[in-house]
Amino acid sequence: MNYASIQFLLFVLATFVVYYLVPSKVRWSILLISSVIFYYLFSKMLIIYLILVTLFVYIISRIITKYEKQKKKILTISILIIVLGLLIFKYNIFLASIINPLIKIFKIEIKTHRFILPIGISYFTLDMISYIRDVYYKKIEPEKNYFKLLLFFSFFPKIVEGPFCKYKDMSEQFNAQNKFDYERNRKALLLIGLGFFKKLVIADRCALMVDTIFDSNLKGLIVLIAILLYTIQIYCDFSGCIDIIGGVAELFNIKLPKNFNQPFFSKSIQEFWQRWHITLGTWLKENIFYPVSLSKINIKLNSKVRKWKNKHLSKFIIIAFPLLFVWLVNGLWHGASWKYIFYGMYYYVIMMIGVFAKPLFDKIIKLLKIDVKSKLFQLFQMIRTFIIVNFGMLFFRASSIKKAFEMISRIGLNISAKIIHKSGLTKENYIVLFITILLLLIYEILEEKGINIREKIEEKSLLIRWPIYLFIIFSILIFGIYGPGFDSKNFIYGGF
Amino acid sequence: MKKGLKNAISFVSFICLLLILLKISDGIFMPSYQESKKAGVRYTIKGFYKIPKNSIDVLFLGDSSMFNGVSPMELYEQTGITSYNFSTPSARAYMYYYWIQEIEKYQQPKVIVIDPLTFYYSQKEKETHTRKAIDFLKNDEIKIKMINDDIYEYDFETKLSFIIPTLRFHARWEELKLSDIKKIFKNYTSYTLGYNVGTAVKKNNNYEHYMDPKDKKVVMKDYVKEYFDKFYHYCHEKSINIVVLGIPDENVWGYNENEALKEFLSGYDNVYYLDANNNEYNLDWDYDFTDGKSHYNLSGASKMTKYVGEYLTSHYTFEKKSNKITKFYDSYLKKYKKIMVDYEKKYQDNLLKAQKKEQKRIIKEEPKKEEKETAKEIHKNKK
Repeated sequence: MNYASIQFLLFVLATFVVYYLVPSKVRWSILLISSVIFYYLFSKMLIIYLILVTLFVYIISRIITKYEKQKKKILTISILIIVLGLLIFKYNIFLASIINPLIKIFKIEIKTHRFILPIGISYFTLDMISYIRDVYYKKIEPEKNYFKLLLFFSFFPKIVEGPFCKYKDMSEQFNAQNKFDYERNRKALLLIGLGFFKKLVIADRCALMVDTIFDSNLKGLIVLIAILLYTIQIYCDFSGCIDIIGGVAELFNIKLPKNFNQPFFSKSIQEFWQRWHITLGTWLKENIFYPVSLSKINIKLNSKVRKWKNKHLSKFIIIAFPLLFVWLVNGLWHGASWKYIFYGMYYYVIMMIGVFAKPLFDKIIKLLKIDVKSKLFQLFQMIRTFIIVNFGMLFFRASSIKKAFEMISRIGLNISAKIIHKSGLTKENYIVLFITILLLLIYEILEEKGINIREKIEEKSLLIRWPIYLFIIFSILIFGIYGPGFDSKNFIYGGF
Repeated sequence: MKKGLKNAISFVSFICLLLILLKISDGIFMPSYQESKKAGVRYTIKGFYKIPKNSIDVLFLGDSSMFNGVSPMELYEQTGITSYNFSTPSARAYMYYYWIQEIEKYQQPKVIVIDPLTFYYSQKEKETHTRKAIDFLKNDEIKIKMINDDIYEYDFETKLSFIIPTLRFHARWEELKLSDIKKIFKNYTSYTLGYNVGTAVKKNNNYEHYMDPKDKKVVMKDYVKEYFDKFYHYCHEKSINIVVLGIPDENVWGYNENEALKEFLSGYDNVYYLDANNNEYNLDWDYDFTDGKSHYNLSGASKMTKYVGEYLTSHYTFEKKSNKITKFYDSYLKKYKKIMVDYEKKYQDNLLKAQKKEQKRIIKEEPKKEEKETAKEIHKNKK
């Protein structure tokens, strides 16, 4: 069952009806039942893994606060056990490909197996780590009701693609008296509609061209266009899904954290990663960056480095060491291959160059008397960041690092009608793509200016709202890439 | 409470508007399926729902051979028998079982005449042919039963696309023309009563031997037995007589198929096989076909209709119609004659072309034939 499917909408409708029919005190149980059914439909008997790991987390969280002296050990071991599950399911082949050549001399070989992944394992594993750590640091009380904890980890709108959530925020909402609110639900449906539009009209249309070019040997400007369209594809795919997920959760009066904040308006890579997949960034900051920064090794390193004469270099090392782990984990989380590690390191290196070379850049800006607050300079920064991101996405999409570099070598300025004809999209589809990307850009600009489009639409009278709703619905129905000949592509981030 | 009621009305009104617009979009996006000015699949099926309830005596069901082969309006004019030709190209035998259930909600025919060519087609068929048979049916429980039948193996989205055709045909947005939008304003009244008028003329060159026995065994397919059985029992319960009309088709039909059918039908009581392969109605193989193989033009259809009419009048008696029904069919007959003027003209033009072509061929081949004959004679004399 794909999120961008009629079956999913019918599933949500059924849950919605039952949810508001039952007394508000037990509504959370309807969400739990729906989540369990949803999970079973996706992963069948692998639901047992989710149930058992949640039980483990439940027990650990109840124990950890009772054993003050051993709690650090309990925390460490429990995190290792939870991560072990993820390593076995998702990374066993990759790890074996690294370890086996090294232990070959001992005539030992780690056997591997291509497991079917329990859906959402990359998401709920991290949620579990975050939960246990929050209990450990007494930010939250351990949940006494196992089923409420299971609901948090399995909540069906977010299980497949996130976002990562804090238990405290979610549990308060699950326990709240969620009343039926027509206006709220109308807004939620609008968000779902926008999500479907981004996914089926823009993302999947881009994919037709991107897949053709990435699988071809075509050269010229078309390769650059494909790279650009892939960035748009992955943004619309992921943010579209998040919109659908967010809208569905809102139907039940559950507000999920924001995961995108107009990322293409970023003026630096740091800013980009504060606006793109925001909850992953937050998770990495709280569960990798801070722990590594506060680790004994890092503290020792810091104390040595601070004694260096070159203060800039010492500051650089202080940041670079924990960030190395952040970007390593970021890359690996996206996939079990060297390509994804390269992806993480690509951004790491660019960020570190930015930090290291900052004094030089500041000197150049001063020398050229550039006004950093001017709109032109900010536009330059956005375009620069956008170009860097596009190449990052190329490494993400290409089947291998080698293929990515091979594609870069094929970029050129030549383009012809013949090449466009072979690019996987007709002239009419290019026109639709251009118009819809333009609409998306206008939407993003307005949101960046602080104008909440949904709120503005909902304030208007029926005579304005209804045409907008109908426009969105019929755009999806008519221009959506679905049906025989094109299967609405499974969400890219759903592969995690 | 007031706000709640206002919201409920607003929501329901929006859904109603959405459904109306969806219906319009279905009409625009569904393909035309090669319809001519006043006939075609859409006319056949939509037109059926416009005729008065319980007014037809005979129902014709079949594939394109029947679709082009029998004219209910001519049958009415000649015999007073009211009928409807509910056929679609490349229909399959299993469709008869669902069609009759749908038709029976509106009509109670005394006789059903079916085309057995469908018995010899493969179980799977092209999507276009299935769509022609199902898309224009009303969205009711019979249509839902039909698309849920295991024989189709449709997934959920495909089944839904039979109810909301926009889901299937939306990709046609790239090729939409003004005529697609005009479709939603068109009146799909079938003055031909379902019959598809063929005006092309092409000589059939292979008819001489299609009924010669061949060295192959023809066995009725399992799915045909299963669905004909269901169809037979349904008709039996409703006291509907079944006539199987063997329309000549040198493409699919032959002696072996004919014999296999007779053997198959012998297992059913009160199913009469009207074997038109004997050509008792003087079908002209040179000029009565549109494609030179299996589809009649209006001349061939006229002869077949007369033949079937003679059989029906001699074997069945039909109830006298009320004045209202007679008036209705008379009005249709008037309109039918009007639209047939165009079709007749087209047919005559094509017939003339075909005759000229045939004359040229004869003139060209005649000397060669004479030469061959002369050479044979000389050779014989030498010997």
